[in-house]
Amino acid sequence: MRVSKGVSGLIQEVCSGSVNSFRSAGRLMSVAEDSFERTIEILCALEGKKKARIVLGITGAPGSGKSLLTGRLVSEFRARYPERMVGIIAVDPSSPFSGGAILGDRVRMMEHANDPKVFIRSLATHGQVGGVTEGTRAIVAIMGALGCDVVLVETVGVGQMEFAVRDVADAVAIILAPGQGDTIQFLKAGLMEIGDLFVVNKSDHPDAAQFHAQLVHSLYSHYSEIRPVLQTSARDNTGIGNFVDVIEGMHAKNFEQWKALRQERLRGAIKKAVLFHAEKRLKSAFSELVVSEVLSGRSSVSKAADELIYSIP
Amino acid sequence: MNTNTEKKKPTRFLMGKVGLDGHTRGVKDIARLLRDNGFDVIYSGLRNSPLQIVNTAIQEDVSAIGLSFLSGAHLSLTKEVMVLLKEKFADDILVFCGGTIPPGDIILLKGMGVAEVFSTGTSHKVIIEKITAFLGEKSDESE
Repeated sequence: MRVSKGVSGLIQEVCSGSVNSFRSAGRLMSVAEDSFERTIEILCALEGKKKARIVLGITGAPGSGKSLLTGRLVSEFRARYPERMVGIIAVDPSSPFSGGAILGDRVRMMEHANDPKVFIRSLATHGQVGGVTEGTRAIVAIMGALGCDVVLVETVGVGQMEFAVRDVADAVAIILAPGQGDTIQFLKAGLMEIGDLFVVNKSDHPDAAQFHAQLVHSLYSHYSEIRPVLQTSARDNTGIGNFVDVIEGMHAKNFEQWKALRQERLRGAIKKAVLFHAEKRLKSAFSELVVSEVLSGRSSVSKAADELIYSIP
Repeated sequence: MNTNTEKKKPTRFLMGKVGLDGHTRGVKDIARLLRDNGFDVIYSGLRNSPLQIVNTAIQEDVSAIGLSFLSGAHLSLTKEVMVLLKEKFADDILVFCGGTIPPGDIILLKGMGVAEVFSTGTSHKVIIEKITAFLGEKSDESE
């Protein structure tokens, strides 16, 4: 039984839970990554289908232990709800030179490769900044339709300014490790503002307790809303149960709000896609002659814009 | 196959080692080679089982799998990968083997359906040329 070639056939196979549903899901994810247009087409087609209960973003600097921690979370969720599926999206960077990528997050999760209730997909950034890609949103939806209860979105290793994961996840966990800066780093704008919870990983490290205390102090003194600061050691497999408890607590408290947020983001994505297409058409209709017209004073910017818009059939 | 006008996404390629063999120099070298030639390489690491490789290939929707061997177990393990791919309706995924493989075994591997075998000493240039040619033929078929 071969998988379908068209989007609607693939969607049907994903939702049917047939023997081929994983193959079809894998294929559909590639289609979703193909173009912005396809991403939106798939998102809209999946609107009425099953959705993931929790979409958690996992982000942090390279080497903080995100992949191993993600693998541990999968084990914990699978142990708690043996009948439910877990999806993982792991993003790694593309080369700015060759366009290629090494997607190596899976290495830390191979224990789950043969679990029929785990679906792992690796993605390359393909030149997009922000830590996740445009196709990610559709891939989250495909995992939901496949039956995933929880989807974990692990970003590329990020610095201070990549927080696009916030646009695809219900909540974002920021993973830190001892040695990653002092209280001034915690005070800075950007990444530290978007975390719904913080995790100090590598808590087996001797400096972890002090790092944790500094982080708690900084967050409590600069932000009015109290956000959890957890401690884990992915290596020693400690603190994982508590991590999942906190995520479940957030879901119980915020799921209505998350639902509204998802709807709002879907609308935002459609808007962005429509504008992207409109801009593409405008660009293809644009002629360099217009520049000379404006430069010589024969036309104005706004008049040239009017003419450009009306020149599109 | 790719009918939209936007830039084509890189080809997805799974690189891994099956069986009990900890020698990663070769597999990492080829992963890097593919990366530098514009592939998205999914690296699954060491000591994978054939089933792990096949499940990974399906979820990652790769066009091809590269298996690297030094252990001497290439015949039985590759056979298992090929059988599982067929069972899961995924035998349109190309399989390449490489590493320490005696010349006499190359024909046996190809007989199992392996696209090409790169033994030690094969140059980067030849590897990329052959892989690209095989993948080109494959995408022509699915047109």
